[in-house]
Order: sequence, then structure tokens, then C-alpha cells
Amino acid sequence: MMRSQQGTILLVEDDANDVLLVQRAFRKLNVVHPIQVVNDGEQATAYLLGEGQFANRDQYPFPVLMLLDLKLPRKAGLEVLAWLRSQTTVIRRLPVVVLTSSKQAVDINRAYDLGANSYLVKPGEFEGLLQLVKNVDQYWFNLTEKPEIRTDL
Amino acid sequence: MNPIGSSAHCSSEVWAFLAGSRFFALELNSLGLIVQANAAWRSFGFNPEELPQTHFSTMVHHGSTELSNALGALQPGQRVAGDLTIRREPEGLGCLRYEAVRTDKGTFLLWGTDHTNELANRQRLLETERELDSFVYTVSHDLRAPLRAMQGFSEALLEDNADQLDDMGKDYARRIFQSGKYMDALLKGLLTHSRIGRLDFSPGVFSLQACLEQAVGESQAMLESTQATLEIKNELPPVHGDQQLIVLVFAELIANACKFVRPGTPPKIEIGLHPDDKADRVQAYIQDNGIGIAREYHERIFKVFERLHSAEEFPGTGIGLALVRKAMKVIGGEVQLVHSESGKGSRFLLTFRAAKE
Repeated sequence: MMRSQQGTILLVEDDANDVLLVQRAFRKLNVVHPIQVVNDGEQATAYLLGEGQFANRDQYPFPVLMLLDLKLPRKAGLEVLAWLRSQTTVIRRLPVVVLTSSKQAVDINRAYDLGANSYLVKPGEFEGLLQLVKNVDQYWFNLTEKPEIRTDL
Repeated sequence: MNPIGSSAHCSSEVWAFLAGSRFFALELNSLGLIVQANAAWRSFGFNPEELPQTHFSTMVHHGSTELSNALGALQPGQRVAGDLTIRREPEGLGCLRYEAVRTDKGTFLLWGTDHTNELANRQRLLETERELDSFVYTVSHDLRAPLRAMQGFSEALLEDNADQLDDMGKDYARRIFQSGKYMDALLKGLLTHSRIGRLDFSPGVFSLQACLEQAVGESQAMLESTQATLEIKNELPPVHGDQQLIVLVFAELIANACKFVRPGTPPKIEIGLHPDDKADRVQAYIQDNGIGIAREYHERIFKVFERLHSAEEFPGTGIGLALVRKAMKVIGGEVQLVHSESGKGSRFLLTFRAAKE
């Protein structure tokens, strides 16, 4: 497998089991990107703004991709997405891949309306998750030109 | 309810009878203008004296086109029946279940009863069904998240920690994984079952033949792996329904026929038109050479998760035929097991509403 370029992935996921399984999938595939995990929508916005506990950008780099669950405590995934796309700074360009268990058309349509770049449904089996992570890595890190996002200016 | 027999010979006497009855009665001229209306209409808020010379459709919220068409095609002595949604005065809607005949004078007599409550009850029932479906959907959806974890981690145990487990430990982990897999299949079945009811089903006319061909295409892998032969005997006509649901019905019945055969027997499936004398329906049959179903189980097989065999004999969850029945009900059709005996194969009969050319 081609070695992907470095870049942090921000995983917004409240289910500790899903976090572990996603991390295991990345590990098994030898995907090298550091994964940062936050567990609710408010933490996600704080992370993206580099606020509070996430103020240190060396420790918490701005991500090149956000994997966003929809059903989240405090602030739902779609709210985070709407907030991100309404920002006036370049952080609004961040590619967002929704990763959720909801297959409902209303969620899918709303996510794209709000500017999601992709919408993926959590597979039932780990084998499916491996395939999914492999494809995400291939597509977003080897194929896709990513926007310029400098948050240190 | 038929106060006047099959034709109206003396409409003035008939009218006198109707006008004094509990029926809502109208006499319409050939253009659909009201000639006379009886006093019963007061309970829908109309003044019967003001109704003459108005067109009947002004009273109707829904159903007037169908009625106009039906009346236009009516021969003397023939009768039509149906439901009209009436605009009550000053507001609100009511349901009139009517019958109408053409008189010898060329006018139409229409009489009916108030079905507003029945309609409301039916709507409440539909709402309850929808609520139940959405409850089942949510529950089965939410149950899948912890299940994913159980499957994921039992698999992780087997892969990442295999050297720390003895054979019994590995067997236990495998059993957790397999049970998880089975539960996932059950939940997927429930999700599909509830989705059939929640589907925003938009009735339309679809080619039964095209739906069948699509289902056969989707079943190709299974047909090949079981070395099944499938023969379509007749070209199937268009019917009322929903493409997605009809494809699902055929696909589930084909899967059923491929699965329930004696070991070593290649499935033989035949699908065709069932000869039928009723013009308003289309009947298709699907015949298999499977193990058949004893008579006492003919009703049970259509229930959710009802199984007649152990999972070792025939793997599966037992939801397939329940999906078929629900889908057929949603599109206003019916599925029956018409001929099946233990050991002699089964014949399912699908009844659809015919689409008029």
C-alpha cells in the first residue's frame, strides 16, 4: 500500500466502542495518520477553533479530514457541520465525511445540504469497517487534492 | 343497501322513498347539476333548497372526477359505488359512501351514508401502524450499535489475542461472534419489515415483467450457487403497486424456493400467469420443487420470525415470507400459499390490482 501523507484525522464519535474499532481498523491497515478523538459536538467545535483544552496546536493539530458521527451529545453532528460551513475563516473548507449508523434519507439529504463531502454508513461487521477505512484512506489521502487551511495566520 | 333494486323505473316514487330515508340522496341531471337534494344533507351543513342547479362537484373535496367518469359510462340499470370526500359546510370534511344508478329519464340517483367516523378510525389505525413501524425501526436500529461492538471485539479477541486463548476460549469467542451475526440478521429483517410500512409508498403502474426480471437479476448469485433453474412461463402484465416492493416480493419468493429444497436437489422454479376471470386483478404464481409445507402450517409461515425447521437444517431468520405478505398488503394485493404438501413443492399465488390499459 502506498504510504499516505501525514495529516491528522479528527474523529467525532461518542461511542467508545466505535472509537476503539475505528482505531483498530486504522492500525490493522497500517494507516499512518494520527487520529484525534473528541466525544461530542461542543468538543468538536472547540477543537476546530483551537480553544480551551485544545489550544496547543502542536498537540492538537488542525485536521485535514473530519470523520463526523451524527448522533452526538450536546451538539449534534449536523449542527457541527452547519456551524463549520458558516464560519468566515478558511476552516470552513475542511473536508467532512459523515460516518454514522443512520441510513435515513432525511439525514443523508440534510448532511449534503449542509455541505458534507461524503456520507458513509457504519458497516455491521469489522470486515466492512476495514474496507471502509481503506477506501477513505485511498480516496482522501492519495487521490484527493485537499484545500489549503492555515490556522496559524 | 339497495332501496330501489337494479334499475330505477319510476324515479318520482323512488325519490320520495329516498328523500324520506336516512340516506343522503341526490338526483343529478346528465351534466352533473343537482336536480334535487333531500333533507339529510343538513347534517353535512348544506341547505337542500340551495343545492339545485349547482354542480355536484362543488360539494366534493375528493373523488368527483372518478364519479363523473363512472357516471358517464353508466348504462341504465347499472350501478356504481364508491367513497366521496364531502366539503362540509361551513368547514371540515366528511366521507360519503355512495351508490348511484342511471334512471330511465337519463338522470342519476345517488344515495349514501355518512362514513366519516369509519374513515377517521381507519386513519387512526393507519397512524398507529406507522407509529409501530417507526418504533420497530428505531429499536432495531439502536440495537445494532452495541451488537457491532460485540461482533467487533469478539473478532478482535480471535485475531489479536488468539495466542492467549485456549481452544475452549476461542470456541466461546466464536460463539459470541456467530450469535452476534445471527442477531444482526434478525435486526436487518426487522428493519426491512418496518421500512415496508414506513415507505412513502407512491402508488403507480409498473410492469410486473420488469419487476420480476429485476428480481431474477438480483438473485443471480443464489440461483447459480444452488444450480437452480428458473422458467418464466408468460409475459406478465402491468399492475398497480410499487416497483421496490414488487421486486422485493419476487426476490424473497425466489430465495425461499432456492433455500427450501431437499439436500442435493437443484431448485426448479416456475413463474407464470394464473388464469383468472376477473378483469380487475392479475394473478401470478410461483411454483417450486421444494420440501413443501404441511397444511397446518400454511398460515404460520407468513408470521415474523416463524420457522418450521432448525437453523442447522435451513439457515435463516424466518422473516422472508412475512416481508412478502406485508409488501403485498401495502400495495393492495395478497399472497397465498395455494398448493403445498410436505414433500411435493409449493405454489404461491400473488394477486395484484390490474392496471387498465
